[in-house]
Amino acid sequence: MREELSGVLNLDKPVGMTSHDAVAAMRRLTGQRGVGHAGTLDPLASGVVVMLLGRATALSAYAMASEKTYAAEVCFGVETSTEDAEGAITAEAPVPTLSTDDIAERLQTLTGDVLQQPPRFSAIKTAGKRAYARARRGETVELPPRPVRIVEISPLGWRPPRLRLLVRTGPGVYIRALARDIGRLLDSAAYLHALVRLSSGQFRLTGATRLEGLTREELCRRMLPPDCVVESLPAIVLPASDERRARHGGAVHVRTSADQLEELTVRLYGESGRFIGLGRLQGNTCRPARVLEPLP
Amino acid sequence: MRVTTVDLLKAPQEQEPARPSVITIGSFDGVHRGHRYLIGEVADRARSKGCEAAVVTFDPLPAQVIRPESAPRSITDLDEKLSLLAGPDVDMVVVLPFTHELSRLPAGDFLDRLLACVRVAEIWCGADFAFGHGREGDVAFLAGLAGPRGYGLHVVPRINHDGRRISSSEARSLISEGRVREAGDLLGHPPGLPGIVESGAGRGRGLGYPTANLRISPAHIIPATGIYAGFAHLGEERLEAAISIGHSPTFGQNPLTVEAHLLDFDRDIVGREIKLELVERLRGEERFAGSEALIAQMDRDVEQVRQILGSCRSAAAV
Repeated sequence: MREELSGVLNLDKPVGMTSHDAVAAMRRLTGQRGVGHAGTLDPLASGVVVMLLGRATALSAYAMASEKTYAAEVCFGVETSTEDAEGAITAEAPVPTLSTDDIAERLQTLTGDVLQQPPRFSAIKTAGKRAYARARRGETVELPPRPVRIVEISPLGWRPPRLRLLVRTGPGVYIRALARDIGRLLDSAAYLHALVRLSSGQFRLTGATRLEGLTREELCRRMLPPDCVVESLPAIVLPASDERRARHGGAVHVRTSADQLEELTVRLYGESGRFIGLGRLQGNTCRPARVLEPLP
Repeated sequence: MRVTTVDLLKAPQEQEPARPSVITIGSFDGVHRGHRYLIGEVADRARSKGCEAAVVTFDPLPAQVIRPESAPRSITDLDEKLSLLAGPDVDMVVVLPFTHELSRLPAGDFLDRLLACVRVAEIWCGADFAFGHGREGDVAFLAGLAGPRGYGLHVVPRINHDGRRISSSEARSLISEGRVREAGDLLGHPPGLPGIVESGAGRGRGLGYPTANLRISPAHIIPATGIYAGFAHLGEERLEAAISIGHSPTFGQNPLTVEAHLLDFDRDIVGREIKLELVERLRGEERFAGSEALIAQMDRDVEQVRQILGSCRSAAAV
């Protein structure tokens, strides 16, 4: 039995594959069940999908919370049922005749902390079923709008009817829904024609690994240690006795220069530099929240 | 189409040309369908804005300089690349000789030096594009500097061909496997193999099939061993050829050679440059019991080459 791999891979998902297909491919490659991804990318889109292997799957909530950037191509003139090029046409409207500068200015109203109406064809669960499963059966799907953050939308070329955009968002944003909203904002109709995820957190497309032809050896070479997805959290190194306690889930006493009043999530390391997991620090007490490596 | 070589590490020369350019930057190895699509968009845009359409390209492939031990081989050398770019679309090609020093330039410096040498109105690139030290200059980086540096940025999403990703590395793996027909389909033209004719063992002449033995640059990709149908470009001439890539196993152990038997041709061309175009792989390399069996197979191979290239010709005529 081969050793289970634990780590993070910046994967370049090809078009035509669901994010779950990518997980299945990684499972076949590694022969292990413990594989997850940190943020779905539609089959029609390609680019960065952060894969978490083995013990790194415990950190998925942190990897998912990261900022993402996209190169998107929005096509004006029609709106579709799926909000991308696959769906049936549901509305038609004339293509806007605005200049790039005018468009750039109008797009600013979509940025900031906003409410987004998710697509009917989305993996969000409603009354225990996936929204897309209900939508496919012809049920009317009403999903409540969700609070999301759109950091930036900048035009990267306007050749009617196609508008190319750079989009920077917080987690949980549907770019398809954004394309639909851009269409409506400009008194037209629009769908998402093409999408490439350029980055997710610190992982960029220019450093991503392709799935085609990937071998286990190459995967091991390109994989990063699990704690790379929580790099932005403060780190605490525990003495040997506390490390043992923490690995068993016991709270440990930590001396901080100023008492930490608000609860803070921190990275915990042993003296040897081994990553233990995450802890919640409040006052002088740190309680392990996610311990990655059980004691041998 | 003008071709200029620019050393970004030297002080900027006079800006060339006077008219602003719509540019695209990259290695463009293989000049595949995706590259052509991007260049077509650049050309359309340049015409409509009254600009020049310019391609800025590196030579050799950056990876061959940065990590020569694991770098991919080129599908096209600079000459092939330039002849594939030649046509009504491209007004100017700027060749940036790629060196270790250039690879250490931070992306911002690289961009500023380029903008000092070429009057850029717009930059067009694919979503995967990145330049500068550590490939730091990606699309998001270019977008951030578009306003301050006063250029427009257009990012073209990835293009698929029959559900297959179009990329130089995809084409390279097809070529290495000998799947030259599929590689040609992805590239939009058959993969090429340029070389200089050297005098060989003279074995082919003795068998009734004289061959031109090619010396190939070590940086150029060579397809899997086997027998191929293709064309040989010799100066202005385009000749049909049966091409053998392999170790001539019928005659013991030999180093890898690329040999082309040019059909209906018998002139001495030692020392000349020829470029092969590989259309289809007929079979793998085989070891025969003797010269007679080999000659019989070569008769059949040449017949098959005529058929394949004949249908190629008539397809081109339609």
